[in-house]
Amino acid sequence: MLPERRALDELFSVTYEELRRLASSVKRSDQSVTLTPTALVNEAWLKLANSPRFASTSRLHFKRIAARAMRQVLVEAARRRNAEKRGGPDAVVVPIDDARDGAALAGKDLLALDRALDELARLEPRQALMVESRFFGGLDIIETAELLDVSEATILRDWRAAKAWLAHELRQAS
Amino acid sequence: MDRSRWGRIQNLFHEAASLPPAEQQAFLESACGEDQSLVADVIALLHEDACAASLLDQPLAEVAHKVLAQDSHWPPFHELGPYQIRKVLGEGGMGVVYLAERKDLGSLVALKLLRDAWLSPARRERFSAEQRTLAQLNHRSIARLYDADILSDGTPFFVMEYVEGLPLTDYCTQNKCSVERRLQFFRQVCEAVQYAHSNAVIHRDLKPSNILVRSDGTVRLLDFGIAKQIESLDVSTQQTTMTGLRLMTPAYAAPEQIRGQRVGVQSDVYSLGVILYELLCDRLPFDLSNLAPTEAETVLLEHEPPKPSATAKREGATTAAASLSRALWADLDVLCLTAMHKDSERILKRWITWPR
Repeated sequence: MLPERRALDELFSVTYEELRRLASSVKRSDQSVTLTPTALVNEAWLKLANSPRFASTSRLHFKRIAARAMRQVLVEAARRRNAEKRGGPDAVVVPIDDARDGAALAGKDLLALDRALDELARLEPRQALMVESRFFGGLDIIETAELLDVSEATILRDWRAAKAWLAHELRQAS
Repeated sequence: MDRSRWGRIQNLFHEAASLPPAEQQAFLESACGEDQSLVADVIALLHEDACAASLLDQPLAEVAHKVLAQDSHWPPFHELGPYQIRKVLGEGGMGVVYLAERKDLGSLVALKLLRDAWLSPARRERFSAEQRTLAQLNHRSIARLYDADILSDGTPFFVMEYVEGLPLTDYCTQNKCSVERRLQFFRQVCEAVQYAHSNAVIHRDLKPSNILVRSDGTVRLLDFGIAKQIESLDVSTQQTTMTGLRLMTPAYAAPEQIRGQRVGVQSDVYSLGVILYELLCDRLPFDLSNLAPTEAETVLLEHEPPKPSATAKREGATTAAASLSRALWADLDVLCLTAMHKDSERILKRWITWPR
């Protein structure tokens, strides 16, 4: 593996684990607090920015890594939900209530979005990265444009088309 | 679909979207010619664009909340793979240790689950490889690691030999062990640590509560190498020294561990020096009990401990070692303080040749 590649994997792993931990601590402390991914990403950055590992990482680059990590955290949670419904591998006793139905739907949608994003990455990698960064990382238009080195108008245009296409894919999957 | 078709669809979509809805169909019919499926594709996108009701239009916070809510293994398990949980043996900042029974074999094990330590999928393979190294440690004084795995949510856990026993210092106090007996225990501990070091495994968290004496008088060292897993999972330890400290027991931690620097075999040797000190004097080299964390850090990093012989004398005849000859004390002073010195690696080898 190339050194840069390995370094990036390492940053990704650390970010993934931090987001996972933050998401869990929010849940444990107060069930009524909603998890805002943007807030989680910001908090993760505050925590990680001083670590030597992230010394050469800009905030924008971090947000891009965090967006991918957030996508994976959520997709994995959705997968577990599906697995639990099938009597999953860990055989954990989990209380059942109504909230789980809404969660199951959101989970299925997330898994469909994950697959559709992979397909979009095949068609137009830049658009897939744009959706990932904006939706999962909370990057705004200006940040996304800077990250992808295109104009804000291009981002707005691409976002509209990609979003419509992904929505259509999700509808077909459900 | 291929890239060029996606490009065409987008161009048509943007052009059609700029027209009044009533004119879109006619525009597409003429622009697409025979290709009715192209018309249908673009119409579908225009429809989605108009309703804006997909997952991507919801705030991610709601989605995340739904998916992650209840996505937690606390309150605890009843079963975990082939293991039936019997009871909680202990709970610390980083994890919970359960007494568990392996259902198919009926054997008892200690199962340690690291809370708040999710391994990213990329790291799981390396974790498993490291556990294989630990599982290969085979020494009569080291508790065996049977199994280590990761729950589907990324939570790592370890399955270890269940050891019933008392922490080394408690055992010695309760049984009023002679200094010879204490040194025999210490020798067993050193042999086990040296065996692990020769297999390139550092304990990193040696302390009496990780060294149990069983009722038959044999010693077992627990948690070999597990501190490393905890450290590598906790990025905050890299930021400040004090958050590093919360993971270990400061009294036994080597200066480089307190500073958050690279840990080596000498870190274990330092901890061994503290343990020997405690065995000889029935107290720790530094009294940290009334100090704030930063003060404790200063003491541990900058102060030289008093000679164990001096401490034992001050404590009076209550310590088992108080009656030792002056010559023997001189040796023990040197051993203890050298182990707690920065350049302490060489002392471990000397211990192995110490006469019984």
